[in-house]
Amino acid sequence: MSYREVARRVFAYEFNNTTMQCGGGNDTCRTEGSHVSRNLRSRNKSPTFFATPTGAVCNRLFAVGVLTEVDRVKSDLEFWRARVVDPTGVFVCYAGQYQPEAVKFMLEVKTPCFAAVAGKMRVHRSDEGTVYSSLRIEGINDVSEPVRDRWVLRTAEHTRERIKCMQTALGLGGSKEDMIKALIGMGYDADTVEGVPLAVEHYQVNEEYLDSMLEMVENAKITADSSIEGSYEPRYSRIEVLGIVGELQSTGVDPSHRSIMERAVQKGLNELVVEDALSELLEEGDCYEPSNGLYRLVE
Amino acid sequence: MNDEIELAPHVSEIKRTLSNVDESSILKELGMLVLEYGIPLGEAKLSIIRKHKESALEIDGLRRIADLRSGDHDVSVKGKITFAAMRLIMIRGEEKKLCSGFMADDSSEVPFTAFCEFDASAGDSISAYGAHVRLWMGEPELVFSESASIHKLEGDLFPSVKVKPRDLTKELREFCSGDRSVNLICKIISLSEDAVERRGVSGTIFKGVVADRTAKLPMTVWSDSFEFCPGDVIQIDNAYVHEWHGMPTINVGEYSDVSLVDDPSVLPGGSVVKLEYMSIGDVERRGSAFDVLVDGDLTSIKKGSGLIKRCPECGRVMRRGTCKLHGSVSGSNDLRVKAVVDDGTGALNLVIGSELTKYICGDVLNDLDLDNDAVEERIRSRLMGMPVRVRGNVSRADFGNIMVASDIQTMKKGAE
Repeated sequence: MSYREVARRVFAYEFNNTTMQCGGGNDTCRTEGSHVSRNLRSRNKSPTFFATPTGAVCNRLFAVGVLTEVDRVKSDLEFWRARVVDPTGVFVCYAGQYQPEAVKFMLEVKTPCFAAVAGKMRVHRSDEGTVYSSLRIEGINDVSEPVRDRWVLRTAEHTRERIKCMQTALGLGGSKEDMIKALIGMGYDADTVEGVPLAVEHYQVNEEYLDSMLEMVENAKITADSSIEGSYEPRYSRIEVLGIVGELQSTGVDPSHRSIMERAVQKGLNELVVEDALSELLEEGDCYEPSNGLYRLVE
Repeated sequence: MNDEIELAPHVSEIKRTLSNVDESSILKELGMLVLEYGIPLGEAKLSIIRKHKESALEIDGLRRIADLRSGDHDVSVKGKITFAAMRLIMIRGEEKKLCSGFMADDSSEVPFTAFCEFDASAGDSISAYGAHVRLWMGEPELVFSESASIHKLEGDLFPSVKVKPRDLTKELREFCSGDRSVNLICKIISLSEDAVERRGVSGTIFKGVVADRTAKLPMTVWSDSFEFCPGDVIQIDNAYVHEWHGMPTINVGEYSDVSLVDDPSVLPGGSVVKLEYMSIGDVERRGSAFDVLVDGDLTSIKKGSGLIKRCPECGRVMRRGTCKLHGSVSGSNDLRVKAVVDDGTGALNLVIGSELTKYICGDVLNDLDLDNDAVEERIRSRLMGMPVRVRGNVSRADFGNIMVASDIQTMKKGAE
């Protein structure tokens, strides 16, 4: 049984301040039940992980921001670089000949635009000791503004949750193992807890530092228009069931619960889904029930 | 001479149980019972085993239950049945009566399943020969196959082993494949008749979905009558759980008891689980999940998305015009998306069928003369990185968990 590495949600500021590598044969992060420990065990593989300042243990990341620039890396003409900017900083992303779809996208894209990128995290240390974080692109695409806003809000939520866990951990003290045990006892899951003691030690995290991270999160949220609900297309079942009621009505068949269900199941819809779609249509006033078990469209 | 050849395999079978008796005397005894007295072969074998068993035990030695390890075979044990329940299962279209339960001696307790004749019930002491031990749900289990023999013993040989009533009631979330003799209280969400063939005779069974406050699960009732309807709260005793298409399924068989619960407040929590967003991390920890809702992003659109050909015989996806099972066939067209949905806490492989794909990709697929690659590219550029809310079933597979979408919504692509 293999698990896919989760794409963590981290702001660019935190991404660019990440200096700690774990995993990759190094046994520092192995909390029973976490993704890292399951993957190390099940595939006998040791992928590289990085622990960010708020304790996210990442191998893969998913980010949405503004794609501002695309250029070729001068020293290697086969290599393309993209800059994806979020409210807190930039994700420097690379794609080469092994990511032909990403390269094709970069050749055709007009900047600036909103873009979503999934990739593997890399941290490179220069000879002078400066640390550069980057993403090796696995997938990249242009998206709309609400997609970016949603990502910012989600990432803010995830980051706050990690900070909350860290604040709790600072109050605990004790050894790494004790800290993990106590946090899991408080109901945090293994994935959230895993990076906490590592980050506390490596980044010398204190209350002040966490407060500054919280401030970063709050500032990032200002950019995001929080009314993203209207940007969703309606649910498939809703449109289909509405169509079926209209279709039955126009062909002179009574849109009874039974005839709607029959037609819907014929079309491959699942009964539980149809049931919920019908009660939703009634609730929201798209349909009404002239008599029990009979449906009509509201004109 | 011919008779000897015919009896030889049975002699060696008996010999496996009675290792202290030499084959020539077994053959002599078996030949006498079968050929001279005309006793049916099965009865004759049991009679020989019964005759020699006490001395056989002295040589082989009884195994303490605490010492049983999976992989042991030809095991002789003595113990007291602490729980036993019958069930009827389907093996390759054949009905098979089994008895499962627990037995204990002074050292320990072990689950057992009997595939042979078994008429002991809780409280009885038995001795058994020719059993083997297998690994069942991570623990050793004693198995009495058809060649094993079981004898009920007189009196209570293990007074220290107490037979206590067991609380076998579980909530649906705790159900996993392999569970048996479980009791549950649940509400019927949906129910329909289904035609099946059993022993070449066509009949009906009932399929449905049940729920309690913790989860929903599919249910199969192996009976041609089932007098309950959707909305009823029922108590099911002695059900068993079987994995079907990667999903634990509650099976109600001939030995299960189903009764209507008049007072729905008996259902723990009073109501059934609501369809709410579940974090993918939680879905992964659970392994499989029936009818759940997740809210994440499509972090990968995989190769093999788009137009595909399916084998008309089995529905498998064909590669280069051939089906893995049926060879070169002319396949039927289908459309699907294979993606990864990830919400930052976990990741699931997601399969979106043709109708849902057409809905979420909309106009971009309307071009009739698109080739496979063009369709895949258009799907990728429509869906990669997009937020999705998906409803569906998640099943466990070797290469990761798979969610099959039953309903979906995504964000609009354009800025409008």
